[in-house]
Amino acid sequence: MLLIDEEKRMLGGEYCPGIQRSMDLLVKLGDSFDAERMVPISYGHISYDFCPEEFWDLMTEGVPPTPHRVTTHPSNSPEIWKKYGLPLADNWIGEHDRKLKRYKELGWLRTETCAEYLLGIIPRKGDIVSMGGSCMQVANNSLFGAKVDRMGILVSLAAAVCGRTPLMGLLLPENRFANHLVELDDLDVTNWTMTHYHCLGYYIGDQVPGFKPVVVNGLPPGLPFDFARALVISMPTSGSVTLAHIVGTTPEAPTLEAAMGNNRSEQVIRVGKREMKETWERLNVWEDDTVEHVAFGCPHTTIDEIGRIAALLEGETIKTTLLIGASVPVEALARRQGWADIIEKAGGLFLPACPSIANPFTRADIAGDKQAKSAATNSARSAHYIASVGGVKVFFGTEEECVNAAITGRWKGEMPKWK
Amino acid sequence: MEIRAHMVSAGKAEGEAVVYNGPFAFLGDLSPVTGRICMPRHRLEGQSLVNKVFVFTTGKGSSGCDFAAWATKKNGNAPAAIIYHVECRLMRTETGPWQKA
Repeated sequence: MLLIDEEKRMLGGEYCPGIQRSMDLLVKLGDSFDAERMVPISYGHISYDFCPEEFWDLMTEGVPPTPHRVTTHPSNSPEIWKKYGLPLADNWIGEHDRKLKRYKELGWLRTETCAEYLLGIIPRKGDIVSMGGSCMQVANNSLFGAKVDRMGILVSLAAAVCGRTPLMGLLLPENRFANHLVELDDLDVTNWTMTHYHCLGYYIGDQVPGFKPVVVNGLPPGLPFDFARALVISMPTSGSVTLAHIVGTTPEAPTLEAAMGNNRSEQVIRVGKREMKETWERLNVWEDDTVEHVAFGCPHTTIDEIGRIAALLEGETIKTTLLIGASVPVEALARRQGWADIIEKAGGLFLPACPSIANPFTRADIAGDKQAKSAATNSARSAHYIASVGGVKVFFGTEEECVNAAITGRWKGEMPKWK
Repeated sequence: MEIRAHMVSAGKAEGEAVVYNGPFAFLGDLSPVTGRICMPRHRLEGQSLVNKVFVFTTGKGSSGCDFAAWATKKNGNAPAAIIYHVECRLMRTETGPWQKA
């Protein structure tokens, strides 16, 4: 790779071991993928709690506060888990506190969310951003037209430390045209909810080998934000799609032709009633109808979602535990609206952290003998990770079905009538 | 059978082959604690990958897969070797030499 003098100094160890190691990693990555040079990032996004302390310490050793903005993914919340009465919460405090202390020394922002765009941290079209978190990678790429390459959390930390990333993959305009075309076969989407879009995205992700861009054709133009987001963020759960164009909705896809450029599609993925039904069934992994936990907020809820959940919970008392994953500012707005009070009065809890991979109620290594044995969710991503990482039974259905499950402790969700 | 592949990480390994025609994620598909496929309804659910030569199409899933792979290896539950055939950003960093940082 061609390095400028500043990058050579970083690599040569003139600053500190953390910057040297980070630059070394970025150069190896770039060389490995034939990147020509490094490019500066507009900002970086990392995850300190998904990064084991051994690596965190190595990559941040001696690093001074960075001139560029860095934000973070949801972290662990052992103090909050303790308040929930979860017996193994204490085990997580030491490492979390040490990493958080270092994080703050670096002058980085405690956004602690997988949906930063809801906080006004929105990349402009064409901005180069390095980030961990496959769900915000695909959202920022697809919904805002930012340039984000697929990378793991360690690489995103190295890029945040150095303020640059190798010029490769989805940062290159020619790689942003769709290679895979999705066509909907006589699916009537008129009454679809967010959950239906989660299901569609999960199916598409599974069908696409690799991370070349996808274009989805045939949806109503100007798809509401919650729907478009649900569709794209589900893809890198079952697969690794990191840029998904939606014709008539996303910025790089005013038309099918614009989204595909001169590419001929390598593959046409047709989705009809059968595919939707099979995916919906696949996401439901349960035997009896007892629901012990309900999880919303994967990715972190928008204010509109919270409003809908509050309307469904008004005056009710729930039988299960119920978590709403939301960033602190969005929760604050919900509080102003009076919605947070309604939800909490019913028995719901706000968690400014991850309600899926790190859901404290479904993880045996956090909840111990209080682990919920079954959970309902309206998110395919959440269903996927609660079933696999948590190892508990999962019900996948609409917002309304999940709220009903919280109130009754029973699952009455039904397979949608695909039209 | 002979498979010729681009080398990501040098080494010699031997083991029974486990072949999966689909994408794979270290986070979610495989338990780092047991080294077995833990994804419900996965075609290989319950199959151990410990010391196996694991052949699959490509990587997928969370950007946390890099550390899930590392944890699996640290626990002594990693496959002996992995071979995949569609280029994957994460899989290369999960298995590349710099994993040994």
